[in-house]
Amino acid sequence: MTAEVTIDRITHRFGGFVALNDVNLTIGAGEFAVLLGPSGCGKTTLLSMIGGFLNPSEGRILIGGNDVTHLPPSARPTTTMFQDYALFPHMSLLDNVGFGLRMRGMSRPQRNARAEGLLELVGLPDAGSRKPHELSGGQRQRVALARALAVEPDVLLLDEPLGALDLKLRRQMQDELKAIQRRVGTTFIHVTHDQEEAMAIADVIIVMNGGEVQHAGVPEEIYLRPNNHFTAAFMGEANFIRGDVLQVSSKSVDIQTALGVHRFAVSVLNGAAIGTGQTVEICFRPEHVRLGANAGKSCDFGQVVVTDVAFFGTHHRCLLQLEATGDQKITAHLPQTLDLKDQSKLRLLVKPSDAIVLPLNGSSK
Amino acid sequence: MRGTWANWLGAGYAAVIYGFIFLPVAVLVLFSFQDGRFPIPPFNGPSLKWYQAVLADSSLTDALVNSLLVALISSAAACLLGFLSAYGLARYKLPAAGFQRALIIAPFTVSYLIIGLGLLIMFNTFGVSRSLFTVGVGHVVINTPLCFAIIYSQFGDHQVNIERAARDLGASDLQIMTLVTAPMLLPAITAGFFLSFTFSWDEFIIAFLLSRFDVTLPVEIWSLLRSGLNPKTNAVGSIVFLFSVFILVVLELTVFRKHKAQ
Repeated sequence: MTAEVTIDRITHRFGGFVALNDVNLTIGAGEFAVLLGPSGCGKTTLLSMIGGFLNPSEGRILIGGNDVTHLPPSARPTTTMFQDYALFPHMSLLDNVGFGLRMRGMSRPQRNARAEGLLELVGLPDAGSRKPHELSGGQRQRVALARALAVEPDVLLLDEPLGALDLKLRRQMQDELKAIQRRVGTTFIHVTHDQEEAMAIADVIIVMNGGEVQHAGVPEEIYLRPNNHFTAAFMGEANFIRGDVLQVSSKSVDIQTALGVHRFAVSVLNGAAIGTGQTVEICFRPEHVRLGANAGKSCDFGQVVVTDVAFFGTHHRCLLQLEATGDQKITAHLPQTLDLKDQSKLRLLVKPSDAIVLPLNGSSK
Repeated sequence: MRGTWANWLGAGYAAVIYGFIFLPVAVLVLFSFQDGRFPIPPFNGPSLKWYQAVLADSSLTDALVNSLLVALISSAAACLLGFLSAYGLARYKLPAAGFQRALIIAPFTVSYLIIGLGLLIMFNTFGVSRSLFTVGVGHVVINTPLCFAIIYSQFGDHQVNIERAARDLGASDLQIMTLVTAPMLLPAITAGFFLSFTFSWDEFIIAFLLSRFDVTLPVEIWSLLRSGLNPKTNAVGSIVFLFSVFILVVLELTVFRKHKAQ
C-alpha cells in the first residue's frame, strides 16, 4: 500500500501568476517527504494537484507509474488530511473513520472493526462513539489521520496538519506521525513552512520558493550542504560573506573577500560550476562560528566585537560586528560557558570544511 | 430614584407593547370558554362546550386535517427546493448568481394576494381545477424563498473542506449532498421546515383563492365567521393558535437550543 510519486514538468498559472514553474520531482515509495517553503511558494498548490483537487496547466503526475493527471480525487490512490481536519461533525468517530470504507461498499460490522483498529493505531481506543466536537485539536487530528488511512491509500497527503497545535503537542504529533508512517509504510507527502518540523520528520525535504524546487534531499544535506542562497537562508540561520573567485584548481578554491583571501577544498562547492572571477558567497551556520585568538587551520575573518548576547539555554546567541567591514552583522551560537571578559583579541574563526561556497544569485540545480 | 423610575417606565412600556400584541389573542382564547351564545362580555364560564362543538363539526375537523396535510407536504417540498437551490448557488459558479438569488427571494416581497391571483389565472389557463393540491403549490411558492434564505445563510466555506474530504474518500455528488451536506445543515433545514409549516398553517388568501370543495382551516373559519360571531369560532381559533405556539416551542427547544450549544 505504497507507491512512488512522479511530478513531471508541472507548470501552473492562476491567471497571470505562475504558481508552479516547471517542477520535476520524484518521491520514492514509502518515503516521508516534506514540501517546505514560505507561504505562496506553491507547496500547497502542488499538494492539491497530487490529490486531484486542481488540474495543472501543463505537465503530468504519475503515481506508481500510472498517469493520474486527469483523474478525480476519488479515483486516485491518495487521501488528503486537511489543515482544518474536515471531520464530519454529525457523525461519530467510528462513522468518520469508516466513511471511506462505506463508500467502497464495506458492510457496517466489517468497517466498524477496521475503524476501531485504526482509532487504536492513532491512540484513541474506545472513543468510537464520541462526536468530533467533544475532542481537542490534537485528538481531531488523530481521527483525521485514521480516516485518511482507513482506505489504505498508496499516498497520504498532509496539508499543514500540525499548524493549529501548540508547540509541545506539535513535537509529540511529529514523532507519532513518523512512527505511524513507519508502521503503515504508506508514502507520506507533508506540507509545512516550519523547517524544524521538516527536519524532525522527513526522509526527504523538498525546499520550494517562487513556484520552483530549490533543493531536494535528505535533511542533513539540505541543512549542511544547501546548494543555493534561498535554501541556506530558509533552513535556519546562516551568515553570508561575499567574495570573488581568485583561482580554482582540481583540489582547492581561493576566494578573495574584504576579509582576506580564504582557501577551501573544492568539496565546499557542492558540485557547482564556478570559474575564476565569479562572485560567490561563503556561507556558514551560527554554530560553526568560533571566537579565538589563534586561527590554526580555520579561516580567519578578522577581529570582531560582540554587540549583543542572549542566552538560549543550549547556547548563547551572539551578534558580532566585523571590524573590517563595519556594517555586516554575523550571528553566532557560542557555548553555554561563554566568557566575554576580554574582547580585544577576539577573531571570527570558521573551519573551512564547515563552510559552503554558493554562486551568487544562482540556483545551481 | 431616577433609576427606579426608568425601570418602572421601561416595564410599563413593555407591558403596553405585549398587551397590544397579545390582548386580542387573550380575548379570543378567553371567550372560547364562554358559557353562552355570544363571545362578548360579560364572561360566563368557563365551559368547554364550544370545543365539543368544534370537534363534533365534521367540516371543521376535515378542514383541520386538510390544513395539516397541506402544511406538511408543502413545507417538505419548500425545504427540498430551498435546499437544492441554496446548494447550487453556494457550491457552483452559476451565471448571474446574484440575479438568480434575487429571483428566488423575490416572491418574499410580492403580496400573497398577487401570488394567489397569478396562480389562479395560470391554473385556469392550463385547465387545472382548484383543489388542496393547488393550495399546496401556492404555499410552496411563498415558502421556498423563506427556506432558501434560511438554509443559504448557513452555507459557509468551512463546510467546503468537509465536502472535499468526502469526495476524496470516494463519495459521489449525491452521496455528499445526502450524507454530509444535508446532515450538517439539518438545524437550518428544520428551522425552515417549521417556519414554513406555521406560515402554511394559518395562510388564508392563497388558500381561499385556490381551493374549492376541500378547504383548509383558515378558509373554513372565514366561512364560519360569515354566519356571525360565535364562541365556536373562538374555540377553533384558539386551537389554531395553540398549535402554532406548540410548533414554535418545539422549534425553540430542538433547533435553536441545539444551535446555541454548538
